[in-house]
Amino acid sequence: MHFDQEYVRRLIAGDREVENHFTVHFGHLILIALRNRPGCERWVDDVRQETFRRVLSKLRSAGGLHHAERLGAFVRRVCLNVLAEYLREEQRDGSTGNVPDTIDNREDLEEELINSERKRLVEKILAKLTPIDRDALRMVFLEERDRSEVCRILGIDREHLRVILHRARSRFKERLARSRGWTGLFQKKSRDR
Amino acid sequence: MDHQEAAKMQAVERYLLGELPADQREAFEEHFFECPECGEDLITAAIFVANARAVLKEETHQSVSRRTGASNKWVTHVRRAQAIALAVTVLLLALSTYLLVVAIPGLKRELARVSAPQSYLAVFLRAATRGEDQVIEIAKDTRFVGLSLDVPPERVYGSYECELVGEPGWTGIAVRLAAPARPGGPLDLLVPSSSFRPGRYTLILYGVNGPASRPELNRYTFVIQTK
Repeated sequence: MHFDQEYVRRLIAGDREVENHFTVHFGHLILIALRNRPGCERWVDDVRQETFRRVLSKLRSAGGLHHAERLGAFVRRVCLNVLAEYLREEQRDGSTGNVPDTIDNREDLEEELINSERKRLVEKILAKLTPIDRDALRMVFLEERDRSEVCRILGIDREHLRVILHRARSRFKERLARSRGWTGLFQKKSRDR
Repeated sequence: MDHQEAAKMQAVERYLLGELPADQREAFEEHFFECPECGEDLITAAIFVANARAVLKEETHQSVSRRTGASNKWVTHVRRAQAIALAVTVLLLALSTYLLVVAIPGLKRELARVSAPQSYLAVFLRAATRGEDQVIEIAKDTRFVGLSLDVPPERVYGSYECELVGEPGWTGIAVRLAAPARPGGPLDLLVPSSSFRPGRYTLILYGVNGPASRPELNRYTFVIQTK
């Protein structure tokens, strides 16, 4: 599947496969994008729901989306608009409420990304890492230490840190594909950008 | 930002590691919403990170639990040893107290009584003959009974042995005696009256003439009565 006219047509028509792909794919991207905006994680579910509602509403309206290949950009724009509305409302009300602890909130959000099969695959990948590489991932992602401090303690550089993550996620992708006979949702297409 | 640029700069990793400056982060975000491949790569990486975080957290908890468990076992072991040491100390203390307060003073008093000059019941034993047994009456407050024996003059030895035998159930007494200081003098045996209970006794006198020679010399039979 690619974000083209056919994809948009099937989405508007209510094709289950495309609908499922749309909500899962962009749902994850919205989660990732909001997690990178401190304080906004608490609105992930609401923003997702409202974004999907507005996007589908627009797609089904007269005129719809002029450039189907810009679907992703459109989804993002709508998402940011919805987020801005939430922020404005909060500022207007002066009601910050009880902002959940960032770490607890993150753990709640990450639940949808975690399952036993994925953990099992990750365990195998982590087991094959060197102790330093394993420590690096633990210190960065579990202990949330400053990246520079991690590199200094372990005697590695930032490039090595990126390589660790790149190799690990590549292996994870391969194992995930093998375990399900999954070839991915997207077929490779020549990039013209 | 296009796909080649994103791949070249390892944008997925930099984004997740928080290494992109604001403008590049914005640009990559625009890109991964539009580029299916980069979007998928980013999602896969985010799933990996989330699951890795969960796995590492569980391992940390298990490690802490193991250390705590081991520590708890060690603490239990130490506490058990301390309890045993305490119990032994208490027992020793109790024993020491008993010895100091009861047993030793008691022994000292007994020793003092024994060491002090005192009277005793002196009895001259007759060799066993036909007829009634010799009766020895022991008063309640008599502490010792002195038994004197005449040694047959034709049988003089360097030392003698006495065996005092009672009725069944009574533990016998065996004593070695040196020869009388005065030739022809009696052999004297001092026996605590508490050794006797009412009944018939026989004292057997042996002469000792080397390890293999122990001939019986005489028998003296008597009856103990208490009053």
